[in-house]
Amino acid sequence: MTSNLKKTAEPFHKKDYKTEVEKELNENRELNAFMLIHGYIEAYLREWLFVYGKSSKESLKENILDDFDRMSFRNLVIIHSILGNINVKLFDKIQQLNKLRNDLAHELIQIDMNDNKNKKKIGNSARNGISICDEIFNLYKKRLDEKAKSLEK
Amino acid sequence: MTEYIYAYDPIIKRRVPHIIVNGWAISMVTGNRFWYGKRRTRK
Repeated sequence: MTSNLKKTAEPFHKKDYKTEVEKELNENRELNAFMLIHGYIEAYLREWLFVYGKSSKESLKENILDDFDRMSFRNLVIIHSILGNINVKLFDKIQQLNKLRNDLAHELIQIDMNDNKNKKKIGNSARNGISICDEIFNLYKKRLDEKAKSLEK
Repeated sequence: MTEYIYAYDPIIKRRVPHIIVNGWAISMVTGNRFWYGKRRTRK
């Protein structure tokens, strides 16, 4: 089912994470908002690495791609850091966001989502996630535009 | 302005950004291309 959903071509600019996440926040679904923005951050980091690479069609073997899909979020962020794509400040912000995501994912049953303090904390982290995603997206888009220049020639 | 779309790249079996050049959609990952047409995607 998901493969059918993925095959239609869609304009790049129509992926509007900000509106999607803000809609969740406005409707008091802080946890959804947080998980959504974390998902977008991860997706852009993965995509960026793909676009950054200079691998030929032949070298992108299926087993390499499968291993890439299994790469942890933490390793993904470390690779971007080593490549110089993200600075230390952004690295720390992403790691902090990911720590909360792991806490939420692994201790969800123990978290009281009716507690306003928790809702506020998660909501604020989701808002913070939007600005982190903005930073990542702008850096990624810059790289995308650089690579596009070589393809447009 | 450079125009991009998300489209399926059969070589890597993934949906990745493609750039539109003269009606061709070119995968930003593998360079695989398909005819996209001269339609305008930006509204």
